[in-house]
Amino acid sequence: MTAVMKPGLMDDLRVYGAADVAKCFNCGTCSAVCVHSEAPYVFPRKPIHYLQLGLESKLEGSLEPWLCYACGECSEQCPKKAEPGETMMSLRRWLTSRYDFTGLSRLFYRSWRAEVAAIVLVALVTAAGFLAVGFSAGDIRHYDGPHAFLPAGGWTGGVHLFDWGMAGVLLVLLLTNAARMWWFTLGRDRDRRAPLSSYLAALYLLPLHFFTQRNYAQCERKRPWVTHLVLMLSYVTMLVLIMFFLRDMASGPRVDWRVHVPGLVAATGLLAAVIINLRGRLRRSWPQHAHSHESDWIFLILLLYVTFTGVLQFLLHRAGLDLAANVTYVAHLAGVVPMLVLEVPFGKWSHLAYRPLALYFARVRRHAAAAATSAVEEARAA
Amino acid sequence: MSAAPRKIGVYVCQCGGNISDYVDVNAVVAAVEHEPGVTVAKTAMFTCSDATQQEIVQDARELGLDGLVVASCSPKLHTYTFRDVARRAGMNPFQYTQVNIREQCSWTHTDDHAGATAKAVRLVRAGINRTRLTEPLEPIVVETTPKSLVVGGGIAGLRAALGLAEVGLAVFLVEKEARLGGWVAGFGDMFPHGRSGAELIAALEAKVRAHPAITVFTNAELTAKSGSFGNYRVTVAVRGERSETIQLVVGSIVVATGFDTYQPAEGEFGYGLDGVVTLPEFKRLLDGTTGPLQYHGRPVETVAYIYCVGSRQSEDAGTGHTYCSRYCCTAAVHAAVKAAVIPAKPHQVHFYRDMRTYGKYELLYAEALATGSVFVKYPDEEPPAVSRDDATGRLTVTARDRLCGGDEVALQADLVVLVTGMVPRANDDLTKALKLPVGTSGFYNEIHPKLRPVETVVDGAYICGACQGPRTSAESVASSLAAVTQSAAVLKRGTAALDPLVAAVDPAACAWCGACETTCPYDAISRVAADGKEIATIARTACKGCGGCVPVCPSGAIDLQGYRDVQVRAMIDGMLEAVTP
Ligand SMILES: Cc1cc2nc3c(=O)[nH]c(=O)nc-3n(C[C@H](O)[C@H](O)[C@H](O)COP(=O)(O)OP(=O)(O)OC[C@H]3O[C@@H](n4cnc5c(N)ncnc54)[C@H](O)[C@@H]3O)c2cc1C
Ligand code: SF4
Ligand code: SF4
Ligand code: SF4
Ligand code: SF4
Ligand code: SF4
Repeated sequence: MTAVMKPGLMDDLRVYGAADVAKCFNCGTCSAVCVHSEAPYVFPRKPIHYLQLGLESKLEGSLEPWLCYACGECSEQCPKKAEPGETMMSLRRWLTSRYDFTGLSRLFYRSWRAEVAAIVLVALVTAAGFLAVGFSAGDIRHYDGPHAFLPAGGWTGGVHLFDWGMAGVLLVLLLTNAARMWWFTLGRDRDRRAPLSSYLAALYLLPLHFFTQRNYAQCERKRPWVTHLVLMLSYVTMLVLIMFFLRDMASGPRVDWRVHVPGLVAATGLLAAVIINLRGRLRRSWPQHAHSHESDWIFLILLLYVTFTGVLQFLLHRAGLDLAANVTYVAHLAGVVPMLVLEVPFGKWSHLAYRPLALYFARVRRHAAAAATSAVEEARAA
Repeated sequence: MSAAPRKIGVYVCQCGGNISDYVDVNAVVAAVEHEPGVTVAKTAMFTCSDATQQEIVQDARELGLDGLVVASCSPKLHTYTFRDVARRAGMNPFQYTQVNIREQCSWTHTDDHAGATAKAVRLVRAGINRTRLTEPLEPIVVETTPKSLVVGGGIAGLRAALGLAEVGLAVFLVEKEARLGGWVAGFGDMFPHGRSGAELIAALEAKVRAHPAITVFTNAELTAKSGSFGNYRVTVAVRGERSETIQLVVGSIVVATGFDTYQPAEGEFGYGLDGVVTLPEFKRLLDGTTGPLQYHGRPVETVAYIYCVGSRQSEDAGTGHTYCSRYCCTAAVHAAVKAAVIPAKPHQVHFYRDMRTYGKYELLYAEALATGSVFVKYPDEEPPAVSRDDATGRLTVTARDRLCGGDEVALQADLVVLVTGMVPRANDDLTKALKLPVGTSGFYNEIHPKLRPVETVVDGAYICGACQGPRTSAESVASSLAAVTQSAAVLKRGTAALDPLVAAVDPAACAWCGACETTCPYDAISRVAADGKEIATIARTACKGCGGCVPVCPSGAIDLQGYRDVQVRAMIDGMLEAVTP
């Protein structure tokens, strides 16, 4: 099928961070260098070329950008300083905005002011809401953790209900976007349709890649993978603690070692990873930190803020400073909510879904292709 | 005429296996070493090597050799090498014979070693027989006229004229058109320096016109040439209010008649559709553009370039345009770089085959990339197609992109630029008048692309610039300066030496029938009165030694020095003699 060129696409991707892609003269060094590039998923040269030519539909259908871990090895070797690694990063941002049907992602990536404004707005609404609902009946000088937001007793924290509600909304948004991703990369193109058996056979890859980022470990430098793994596992630990053990977490002021020790370990992991990444971006010490998009800073600062306020309210509570602990807690929630409702479905964080999905889809495609070939061979043999 | 026995040295080359893998060189030596006149016969790994050359010189000195036979490769390669060896060895260089047992034996008969060896023996014997009958010959020395004629007033011709004048020669510059400057005079900014071609030519022309030693004829053409090397008589026809014909005598002729651009046929890559233009047309459009790019009043947002139009065509097309035009990749990316800085910069997509922006022009390619030009590499065998939607007026270019795994891509464009190549100028009259050799692609041919890059087989006629083949102005000027040097080398010395291998008439035998005169392709023969009768005489400086006149003479009055009939007969005898294995 003839692909229609849209010559301005390269310029459009500039705001997503693709600054040097025009310099690429298609030598293919980058594809030879990348450890993840393997037929039929050869990159970064091919997606870069699609981008130069403005082959939008081919790009939308590409899984390759998600198979890249931004190690920057290719950028170091590129003879034209065309920053192929950075182009892959910007393609992920662009794809995120394509998968997202609401248009918010596109807005945020193209304007950091809009993203900051949205975060501030959600933060203010959250804070105001909690203050209005939570402390209209209760006493702000008395720390009651999530219970403080309960208008009148009851076993489930209001926050807890809110948590689950939010998780539901998040899931719906993410799933819709994931479905769009599936449509672009597997569904739309008749040649790429795969049988159910292929989907089932590769299913195990989803949790595997989600929890281990196994492929990231294949990159030449191991520290970025370790840092990323620590960040991700700490985050998941924290999520589990908050979703399932919120009551125990908020108990006190006595320390409940069953939840507080893992909580503190996770918080330390989060803080350390965030600080390493921030430092790296400031100093540009790793190749993948050489270029930072506004969305990277927003993401890291927000995460730092949330972790810091979380730890602080915990400490204040242990110290018996209830009023301060309550105020900090509200401030904490004012960060958590925008992080979850804006960053996860529309921002950088969405890659937690897209990357494992891409690895999964890639295998599905390969599986389906292999099945088709062997069917042909069998038919030929018969 | 019973002369003292000859002392001939025979050297049979192995050519490092090129010959000896198929020809038994020792058997060749054994078969010829007792031939009459042969003093020494040997084989050598590489006859042309310094060591062997030295050995020949030494043998000649010790044994008093007076004839040399080298059985190796084609005479095209090493005639001058071994003539020089003969000279150093104290022999007369024209008593040496080159025998070609590589191209004519080992390379041709790879499947028949015995046959190849036998053939080599026959050829070497013929060479010995010829050598045995050689006489010492001396080069023909001619006095030369310190004047030069330059044909063509493009950048190459202008620079050559100036160069010749600067070394102190009188120069006549003949330009067909009313104005000087050729193609470059019509260009704005040019690669690589970015200066305007028109300005460049204006400056050069001013210098040429101001130089007292240069006479410029515009609207003028060379119509005839006679005379011989060092002293050509040329006729120049000047058009104008009162047309006139001028006769000049010059020592050398520098031909710088340039090229034409390929003119696509109607429908070729959509040529003829509104919005499809050639590169020269686009360059003119661009040179005249200051604001946003427009074509026929329509804004141009997207430009598509299609490369190699009229160049690198397949042999089967039969057009002869199989060569790469060299300048066009660079000229096209240069145009794209220029177009990228005008207001409302258009999108630019280049459909190319290979990017041949060689040498430092690579930087222009990089600049084109950096300024947003996009490159689609189409397969040699499947060029892009251009169509036009009459309703919208937009053009569509479809092509396969080899860098996308051969997928088909389509581009909507407002302007399609056909990057047309260079073709030889139609110049039949000049070619005929000067007897210039034309190569398979239709451009003028030099003797040797590396070693004698501006000389032609016509002594004293040099070629330079794009009439020799596609090239940039810088390369054109470089070759025109080479032609200046070659001209000056001959003309400044005042004399020139020519090979004495020319025809000679035996006055006693000739009875002037005129048969030879009409045969000679170089007009070297004329009638003179001698001893009360009329006979033919041969201008030794004009004769090329082609031998054409020899067989037509009913009286057998003509002989070719170095290849006299007796020698040729002896060679035939040598070849026919049986070869005993
Ligand atoms: C679109 C385009 C863009 C280019 N851009 C560049 C560039 O940016 N930089 C660069 O280096 N090169 C460029 N070139 C190449 C450049 O034009 C040539 O290298 C250069 O013109 C060659 O010079 P020339 O004198 O050999 O030939 P020409 O320019 O063709 O001049 C030959 C002259 O000889 C005259 N002539 C022909 N026949 C006769 C005859 N029988 N008797 C008398 N006179 C005769 C002609 O009228 C002409 O004046 C470009 C070429 C094209 C087509
Ligand atoms: S991005 Fe660099 S390394 Fe990769 S193909 Fe382009 S020029 Fe080559
Ligand atoms: S940044 Fe690393 S992982 Fe990504 S394409 Fe380049 S080499 Fe591969
Ligand atoms: S220079 Fe480029 S456009 Fe011109 S013939 Fe050669 S390859 Fe084709
Ligand atoms: S040998 Fe050839 S060039 Fe010489 S006079 Fe005879 S025909 Fe003319
Ligand atoms: S062909 Fe022979 S006889 Fe006739 S003019 Fe020439 S040299 Fe004399």
